[in-house]
Amino acid sequence: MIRTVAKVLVVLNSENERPSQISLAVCFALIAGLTPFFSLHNLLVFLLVLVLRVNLSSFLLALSFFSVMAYALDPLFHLIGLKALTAEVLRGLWTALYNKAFFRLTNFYNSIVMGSLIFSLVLFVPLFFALNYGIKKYREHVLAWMKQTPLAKAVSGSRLYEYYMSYARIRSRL
Amino acid sequence: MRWIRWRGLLAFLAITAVLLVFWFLFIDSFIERRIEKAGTSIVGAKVELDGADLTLFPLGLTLTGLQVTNPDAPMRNIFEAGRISFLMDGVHLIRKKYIIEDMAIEGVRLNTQRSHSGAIGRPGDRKEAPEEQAIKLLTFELPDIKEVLNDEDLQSIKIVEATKKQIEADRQRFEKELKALPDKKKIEDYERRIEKIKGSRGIGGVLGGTAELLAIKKEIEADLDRISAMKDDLSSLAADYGQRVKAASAAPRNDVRKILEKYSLSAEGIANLGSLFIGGRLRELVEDGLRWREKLDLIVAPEGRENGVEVQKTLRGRGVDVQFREYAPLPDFLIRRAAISASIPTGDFSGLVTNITGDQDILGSPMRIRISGERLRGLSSALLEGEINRVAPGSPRDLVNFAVRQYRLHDFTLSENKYVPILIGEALADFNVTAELKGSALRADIGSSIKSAAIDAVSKEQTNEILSTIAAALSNVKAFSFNASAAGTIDHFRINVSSDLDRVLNAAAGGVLRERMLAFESALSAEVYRKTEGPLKELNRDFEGLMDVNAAVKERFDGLNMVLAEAARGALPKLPF
Repeated sequence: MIRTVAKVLVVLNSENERPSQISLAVCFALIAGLTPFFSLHNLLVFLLVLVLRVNLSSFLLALSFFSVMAYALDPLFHLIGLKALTAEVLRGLWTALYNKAFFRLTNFYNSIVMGSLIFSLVLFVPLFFALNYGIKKYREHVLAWMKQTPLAKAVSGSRLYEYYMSYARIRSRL
Repeated sequence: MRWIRWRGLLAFLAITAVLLVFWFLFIDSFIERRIEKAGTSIVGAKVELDGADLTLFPLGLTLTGLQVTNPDAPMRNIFEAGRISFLMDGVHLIRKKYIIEDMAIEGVRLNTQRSHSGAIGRPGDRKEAPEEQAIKLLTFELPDIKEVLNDEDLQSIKIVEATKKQIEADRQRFEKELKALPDKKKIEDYERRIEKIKGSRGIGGVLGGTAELLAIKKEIEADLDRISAMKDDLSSLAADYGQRVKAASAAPRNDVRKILEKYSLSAEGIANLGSLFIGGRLRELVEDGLRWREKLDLIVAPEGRENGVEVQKTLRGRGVDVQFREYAPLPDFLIRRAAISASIPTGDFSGLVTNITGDQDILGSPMRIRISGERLRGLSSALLEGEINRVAPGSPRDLVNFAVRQYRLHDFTLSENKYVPILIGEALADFNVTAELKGSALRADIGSSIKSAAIDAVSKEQTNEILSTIAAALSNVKAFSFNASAAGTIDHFRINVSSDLDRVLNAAAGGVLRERMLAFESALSAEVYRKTEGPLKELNRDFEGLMDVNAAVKERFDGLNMVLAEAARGALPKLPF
């Protein structure tokens, strides 16, 4: 876990990693973490996480965070899901999906699956843009300020740091 | 292509493949454990499997070495199956519908020995059946009256107390109302006022008197209306309470009769001594049947529905599954046909169980069972037919018919009672059992005819001559038949038995038992009457109190009527012309 957190910090501070790669990873983790793990839609989420060039360390860290949060939010998901599943206007849609074999596999008719999926999908886009904005601001202000501190200057100016960075660059190419 | 990571796709495929391999490696033991766990919770004793084998092409499952422990005898299996195999419909399985068209259950064996106990938890305490309590009579030791009454909920006391409470409340209410009604003083006041009018003279006096008299009449009539309403109310209540007090007085007699019937100590019970020996065994048979029916009910019981949407309650934190209307409804779980073949020492049995499902209302057909015996040794034929009907979940109905012809009994314990146990060494028996359960109402008929019997009945109390006589009489019986009926509810049913054995037992011990029965009845009556005497006296006292109020109301009603009549008759003075 400490290793993952360190990796995330490295990525956050790295100019090579685009903010959207980190944001998208966290947003995918939002879906996978809040909804029940063994759900069919999570297979698609994992496929996208692996195929799209999103940051895996951020995804894993955020996945742990959202999975813990899901326990506390289960009652809310149940309420949202039950409300959606028993809404009269949607009855026709759910009935049609219920009669399709594929959708049966998705467990969409479970109140927590439905509730957590609605919750995470609603938050997906706003969270993506908010994180993008936040990371950019972090890099512009906090990271730039930290680089100007005497401690950072002393460390980055040292020979040891130079060797370490050279080693890290070589290792990342392997 | 900057956003695509092709190595990720390969990683995804590799992870998926590894997971599938693991799933395929462990799914068999997972299924095995699930079946053992579910079966154990249904049966209430260990259900074990030697193995489970899932095949994907074609999709099917084979279970081997199924052992179902007898919950009443944990060192024996009530049922053992060598192999159970079936194919499943894959398309339906995707829709989470477990539909099995044909299931084969082979190598069935019944009542086999286990190598280790299959008990889970402690067995429940067995309640002594009424027949076992009644059979104590045969020892000529009367049941302890105090113990008998401690076990009984005397209805007479309840009836007396309830009636007394109501009468007391009504008496107090009427006494309070009576105080508000015109009393003797008020009646005398009316009389005085009328007398005064009588004494008036002249035209002025007559005119003034008339007005006053009309006012008095109005007042009296208003009072009479109030008294009359109370009188009517009280009269009807008094009549009703009179009946109830009468019924309460008769209630102790009813209690005595009920207790005597329960212990088979009535005249009919004494004439039906055979039931004391056979009744216990039959009760066990019916109770066993009901226990197994309860277990079967767990399989065929439908899920609950709420407001037209079926909601399956799952564990907390896992939400609920909302079920919607299906265009082509199918049960969630269905075994359309299960063919059973069993080889027991008696011979080969084969049978068919159809429509095993918890959603009979969706399927529209009940579960049916038919098992019959072929090429049997020691019996000519055996047939079991049953139906468990939950098509209309609100009115469940179960039926069973079981018939055995020419069954050779060998060392069969007819009665295990501790005074005169009866063992049938050898006999030929025909059995017929028909039972119906509608909701919780039970109706069962059991008939049997036993021939060429060698009965061994021994008195365990050899000093008791009557018991020895009974044992000797039973040992001489070569053939007998009995017909029994069980009626009542699942929790409380009564067994009536009529048997040839009655005549034999009556000849041996009927006279002495009748004497004992009368002695017991008299002691029981005395104790019940002693218990109810006090409350009955208090009840009568309260009723008399209510009748006193009734009399007081009637007295005031009559008094006021007389004053009113007086006022109408001659209160006004005669006119001068």
